[in-house]
Amino acid sequence: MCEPVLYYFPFQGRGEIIRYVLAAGNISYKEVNDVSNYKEDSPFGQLPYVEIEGKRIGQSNAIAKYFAKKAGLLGKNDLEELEITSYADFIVYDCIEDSLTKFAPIYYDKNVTEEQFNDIKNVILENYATKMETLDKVVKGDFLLGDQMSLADIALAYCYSWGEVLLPDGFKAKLSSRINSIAEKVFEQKYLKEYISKRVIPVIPPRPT
Amino acid sequence: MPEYKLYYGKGKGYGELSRMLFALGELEFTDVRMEDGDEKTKLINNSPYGANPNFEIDGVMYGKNVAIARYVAKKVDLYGKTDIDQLKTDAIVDYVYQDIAGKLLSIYFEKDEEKKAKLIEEGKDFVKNTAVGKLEKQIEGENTFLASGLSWADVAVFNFFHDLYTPFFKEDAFEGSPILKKHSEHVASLPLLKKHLETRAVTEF
Repeated sequence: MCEPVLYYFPFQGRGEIIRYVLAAGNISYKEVNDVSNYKEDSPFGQLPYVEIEGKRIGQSNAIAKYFAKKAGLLGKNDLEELEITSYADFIVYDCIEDSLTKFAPIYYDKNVTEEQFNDIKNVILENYATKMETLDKVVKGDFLLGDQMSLADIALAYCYSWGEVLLPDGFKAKLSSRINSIAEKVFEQKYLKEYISKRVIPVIPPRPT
Repeated sequence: MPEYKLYYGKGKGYGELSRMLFALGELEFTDVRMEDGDEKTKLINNSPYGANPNFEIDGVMYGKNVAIARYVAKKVDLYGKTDIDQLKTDAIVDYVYQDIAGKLLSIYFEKDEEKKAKLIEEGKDFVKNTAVGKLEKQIEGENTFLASGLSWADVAVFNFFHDLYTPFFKEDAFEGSPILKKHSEHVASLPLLKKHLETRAVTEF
């Protein structure tokens, strides 16, 4: 059985949730960063995508879920999986993707001044932090949904990767200590900690000048 | 057998995929369709996800339309049999309900008429010139995405384009795609789905 191959830019970006799950599950894989032809090669013309058993599959959230199952991060039964995936979806789509859709156009537009950029950025990220805060009411144990780490916690940690870059001055301060401590526990997970200590790629490319 | 209750507004929207899957599996559930008002607002505000649909299984509430629909798909044996096939269906459903639907939703809420008109043209262009072609290539079976047969991915694509895209953009996204047209016709002709389409409440979206 050959290893899965992850195709993504040499950035954390949307690939990072997959890398976190692979790391947490100690699953070996190859990575390809020369993705210049991705619009043709990728199943939906987007990145990231993976090649597993000869098949190319896209959609980072779906891919993360596939590996999460292999890593034992989807709970013990269908009801637990429903709960875990619903929160993973909420975090990835309602918190992160919703913010990125608004953030990306202004980040990559060099005609937006640094001052304008910061103003708009803060509005977007307040929204992001407010949504993340609703998770505080959900916490059921050592982790978000109980005492076992799940994909929902990985999604939460993935949020921090974006949050720290997009709102460097005060992202964590906006969230509850309970949520912050869950993220910390995820980052302390043996294999994930090792992955992060060796990681060199930044979250996103620098702003165009 | 567990008791299932699906809470949504009066329309088809993001609740309809689950309703179709229940119909295809002849699985009983309570279809709670709420008028706009205090009760609906209270449910949404109490939901950690801040939205409908919400899904009650033996008294416990769950949320998020795709996660719910996946659960129902599993119960009616429309999720696919292997991990890879299931992943493939997950990718298709996410592409349709998060990527494509996400674009549509932002257009729907755009208040600036001029900007809205531009977004509508961009949306149509994206769907017809990119999304449709990519979805066509995903079909591996006889009018099904999976070689092994019908799955929730087929129902999702049918539901989204038939019930949301076409009424909103007032045109058929599959006009230039005989493959997806045939796919849609096949899904619509499945006896249990056909019956559902004929008997369900008529709403704009």
